[in-house]
Amino acid sequence: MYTFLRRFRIVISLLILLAITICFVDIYNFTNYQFSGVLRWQFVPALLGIGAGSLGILIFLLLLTVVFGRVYCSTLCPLGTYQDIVRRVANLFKSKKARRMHYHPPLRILRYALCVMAFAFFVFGSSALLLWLDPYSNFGRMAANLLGLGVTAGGNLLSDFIYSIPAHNYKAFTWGAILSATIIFLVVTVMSAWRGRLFCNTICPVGSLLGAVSRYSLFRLHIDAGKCTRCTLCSTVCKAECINIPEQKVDNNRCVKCYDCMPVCKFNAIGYKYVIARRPQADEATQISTSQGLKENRRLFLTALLGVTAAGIFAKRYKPAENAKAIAPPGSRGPEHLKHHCTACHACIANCPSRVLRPASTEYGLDGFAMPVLDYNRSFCNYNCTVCSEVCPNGAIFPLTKEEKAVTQIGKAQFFRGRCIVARDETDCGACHEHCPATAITMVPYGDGLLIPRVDTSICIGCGGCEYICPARPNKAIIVKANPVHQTANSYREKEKEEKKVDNFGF
Amino acid sequence: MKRRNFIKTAVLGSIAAGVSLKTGLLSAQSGNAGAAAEGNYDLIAVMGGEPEAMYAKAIEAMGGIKKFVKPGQKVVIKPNIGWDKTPQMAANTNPQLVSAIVKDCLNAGAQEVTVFDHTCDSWMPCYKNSGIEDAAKAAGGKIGYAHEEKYYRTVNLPKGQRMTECKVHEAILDADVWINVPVLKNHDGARMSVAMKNLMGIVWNRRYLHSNDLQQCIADLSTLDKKPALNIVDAYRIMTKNGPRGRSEADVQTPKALFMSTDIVAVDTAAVSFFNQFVNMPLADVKHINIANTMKTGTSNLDGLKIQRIKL
Repeated sequence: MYTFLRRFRIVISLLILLAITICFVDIYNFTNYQFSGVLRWQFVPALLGIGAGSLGILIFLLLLTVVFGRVYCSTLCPLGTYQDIVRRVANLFKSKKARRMHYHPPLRILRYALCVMAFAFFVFGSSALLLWLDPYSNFGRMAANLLGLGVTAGGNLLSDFIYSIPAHNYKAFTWGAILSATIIFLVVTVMSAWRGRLFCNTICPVGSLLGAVSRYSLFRLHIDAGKCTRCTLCSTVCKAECINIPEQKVDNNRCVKCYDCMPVCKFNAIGYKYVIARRPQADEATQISTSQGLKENRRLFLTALLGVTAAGIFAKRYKPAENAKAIAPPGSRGPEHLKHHCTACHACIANCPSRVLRPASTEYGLDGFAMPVLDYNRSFCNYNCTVCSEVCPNGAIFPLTKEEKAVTQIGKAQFFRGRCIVARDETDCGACHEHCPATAITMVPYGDGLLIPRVDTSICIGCGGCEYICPARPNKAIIVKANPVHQTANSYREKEKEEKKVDNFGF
Repeated sequence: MKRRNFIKTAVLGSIAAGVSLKTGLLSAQSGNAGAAAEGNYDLIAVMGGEPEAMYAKAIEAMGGIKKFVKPGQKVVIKPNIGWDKTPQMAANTNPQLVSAIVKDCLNAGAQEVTVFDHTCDSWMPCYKNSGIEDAAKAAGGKIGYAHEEKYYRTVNLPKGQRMTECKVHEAILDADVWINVPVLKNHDGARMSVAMKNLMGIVWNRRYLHSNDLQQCIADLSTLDKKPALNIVDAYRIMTKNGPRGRSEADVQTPKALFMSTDIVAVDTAAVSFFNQFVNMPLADVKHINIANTMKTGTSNLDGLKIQRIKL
């Protein structure tokens, strides 16, 4: 029974890991964004995306935890499954003795301090800390920037020999994002190879939050003291290091419900039981005397208070600087909303067909590092495309229809006549006008039979086609300035079509 | 010969035979143009039919595709696929026309037919939404990629004045024959986008042309040694304003015409004269045509050419 439960958990978790990974590395778009819906079932995206209609998913995830404990951590979280794989692989290189896990007491202060701070930052209007701690987003960045880079490079290598494989550019990658993803990758990999789910039980704010709920869940891991012989077998396979054999207790706060322990027990002493009637302390390894408990609670309370205060001060002091280059994706309503809801999972960047989205360096400020920004030196935003808004699970980029996108003004083009080829060299150009999908740039008579661009900023949507293609150097003659808050552009006024009938060739 | 190859050849052969039979039937039905259809024309102009029918008429008058495509040759067809727009918007070449040319080349025994363009919008939606990728593949052609620099090689343009070298797509350079298939459009930069302007889609760095006297550079590019064997201008739908991208169907007229010539300057001249009937566009305003005429890349003096005008 427990063996089946465990196998079921493994199969589901691998399928979810696969689906999520595909969302980040499908550079040839085999799946046509079909799997991106999976991303919405992640905890932090569900929480941050309440405004985009994910409250139901959030409630479901919490109820799941209330009933079954942290199955989210063992099954739904891609970083959790990744760590299990790392541990399994690492075990191949370890001696039998070194593979054994041991019980460790919880690092409660650290856990809750990070957790409270991360969520307090969000409450005060910044997702900057969640960005670095959320397991899903960290997994996304690892998949997009490291695995994605590998897939791109591998594909390009093959495309030299196999004609039907198209080459890909590296415009979606930045050194900053690759480096930060590498650091996270090393930290998570080393921690899990060394001590299983250490990351989940010390750093991960989702783990801490769900752990706190998990203490009171209906189904819990429970050791039957009557049957248990204290052989420690279960404890040696526990990747969460939460089975306290001397006290015959399981710390259900840290237990990720991987169900590894139950099948190994030879005496059926450890089980997954419905325990609604029992108070959590009764089967908690953390049973502590009242005075000790108060002391501990006071410490936790103080930590939380400190975290909230720090977040408040940070949010108050750190007003985002207005940067003309901080061009946020259409649907994100502007840098401020983006910085409140984006955790830089890079789903949008990895899937942007135009490769105009890249991880930001300091365009949004340091607290907006790695969030998606449009870079018109690399490419421009396709008029008919709404992919980033469709794949964003966080509600950081709200879904747009093509019609909404067509009037979403993320910036305004600014024309510098003196730099323009037409004015400078007195030759024809019109590259910006060509690329303008909104008809905001028209060509008007200039000098001796030439035409020069004129920009109507009320129609311009800031897609960057003009800036990208402008051939003027060293400075481009047309540059898009970011809108701090996205606006709605006027629609182009269509003239009546006159059907013209011609019977001759004209020559 | 292996058995598999034998079967392949046999099947392909019988298909080819069937198709040529059908074409023969078609030409027999509309025999009046057939009288002079011996292929000595410099320029063919067709009006009043569907893209496939107009192409069939024009190529027949030109002397048939076999005059240009020999068995076993590698053929490249270069339509305009510049924009993420549907065929109704006339921003790209008509996919039915592309399909007809691909089929015809394969019937003539072409080893392979590749269709590509260096698009302005992202290449994938352009290829897809223009209908050209599907049309070309369905007709038996291949799609060529042109979105990365690695697909291009530097060539010299010894006759060029402002542009003496540029990176040209390898498919063009490696092809035995290539056919230039532009769509007729208004263009507020180059004034008109027809056959010569369509060559910008075989070049990697288009910004160079824009920033070094666009009109002269377009003329320079037309001096490329590897000239298109045929220029076929799609004027089934034409874009009369807001070109070359266009905004909506209000920018489009449907004159149902087609122009064909081996002379890229002549075909542009004819197409612009035709266009001039819809929107005022004197030939003198389209400087790249005049420059190319002066550089003797071709001629814009249509009076000296043998022209066949066909109305369906």
